[in-house]
Amino acid sequence: MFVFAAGVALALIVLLAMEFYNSRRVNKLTYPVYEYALKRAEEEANRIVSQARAEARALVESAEAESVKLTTAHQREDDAAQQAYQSALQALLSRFENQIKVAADTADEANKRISAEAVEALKAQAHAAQEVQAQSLQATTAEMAKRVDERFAAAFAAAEKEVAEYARARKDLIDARIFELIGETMKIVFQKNLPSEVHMQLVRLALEEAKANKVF
Amino acid sequence: MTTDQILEKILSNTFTKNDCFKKLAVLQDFLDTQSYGGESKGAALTAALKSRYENTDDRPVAEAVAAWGEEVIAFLMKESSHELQSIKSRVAALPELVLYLPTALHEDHVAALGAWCRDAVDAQVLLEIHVDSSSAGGCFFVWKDLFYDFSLSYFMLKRDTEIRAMLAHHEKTYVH
Repeated sequence: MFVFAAGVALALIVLLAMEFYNSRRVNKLTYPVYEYALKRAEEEANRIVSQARAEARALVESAEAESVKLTTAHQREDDAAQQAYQSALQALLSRFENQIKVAADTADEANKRISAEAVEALKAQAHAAQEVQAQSLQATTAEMAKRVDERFAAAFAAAEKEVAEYARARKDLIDARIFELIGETMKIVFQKNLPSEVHMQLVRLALEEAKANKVF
Repeated sequence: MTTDQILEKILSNTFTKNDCFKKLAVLQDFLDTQSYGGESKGAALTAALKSRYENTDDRPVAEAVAAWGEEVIAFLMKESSHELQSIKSRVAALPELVLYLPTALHEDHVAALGAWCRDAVDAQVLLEIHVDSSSAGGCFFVWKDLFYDFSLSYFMLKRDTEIRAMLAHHEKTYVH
């Protein structure tokens, strides 16, 4: 068994060495070919790119030339249209101005005529109204003065009457108060100064008065 | 003797309810002393009554009660206290004239007033007298639950026109 294992290990080592040797040799052979292929591919790619660039440049230049041409043509057309529009507009404006002028002149004349007539009519009306107003004002003033006089007279009479009423009412109030005071004073005097017999007589008189008034 | 007769005797010298009840109280007191072995059974009851209250403040009251007569006192002594109670109830039910006088009157004046009221108002009327200074110049009174003012105010109002005329005359003569 030990021999077998040693044999296998040895075989493996030999294989490894051979592999290493072979790959070095392959590399030495294939590497330059690879580089050559790579270089050739690079050159081809560069050639294609530069060709494409040239074509693109040519396309761009032609497109620019075409666009300039087109722009110039459009610009010329625009200018022409603008000019035509301006002319037409001017002509229209002139026509309108003339028409307006004619209409304004006509209206002006008509206005003047109507104003003159209206002024005359208004003057006549104002004059008539003034006269009527003056007359009615005179009549109203007289009427108002008469009414004011009557009102004043009535107001004065009413005020005088009220004052007289008030004076009478106040006098009545004062009289009532005097009356009351006299009564109270007399009661005090009676109570303090009258003898018992006089009181008795007054009580008798009061009871007799009550009997006369049918209280009993 | 009947209750009416006794009442008549009582009212002959009694004009106010207070006075009446006072007299009945004195009589009651005297009858009680007589009932429970009193002083002198043989003597006249009126004399016994007077002598019992001889030196007391109730002497005038006792004399007034004695004035009712021997017969009345003997009758009441013979009857039970029921009779006296009955008289008290009758007195309480008698018509009453409440007088408001400006000053207290002497009892003679009260008697005179009472007598006048018995003639003019009611034969059995009793007075209840109060003093009210605002009734000066006459009186106030209450009769059958109605108040009447017959004081100076009434008489002044009655002559209102004359008094006002006097005031006006005074104003013209002395003021203006």
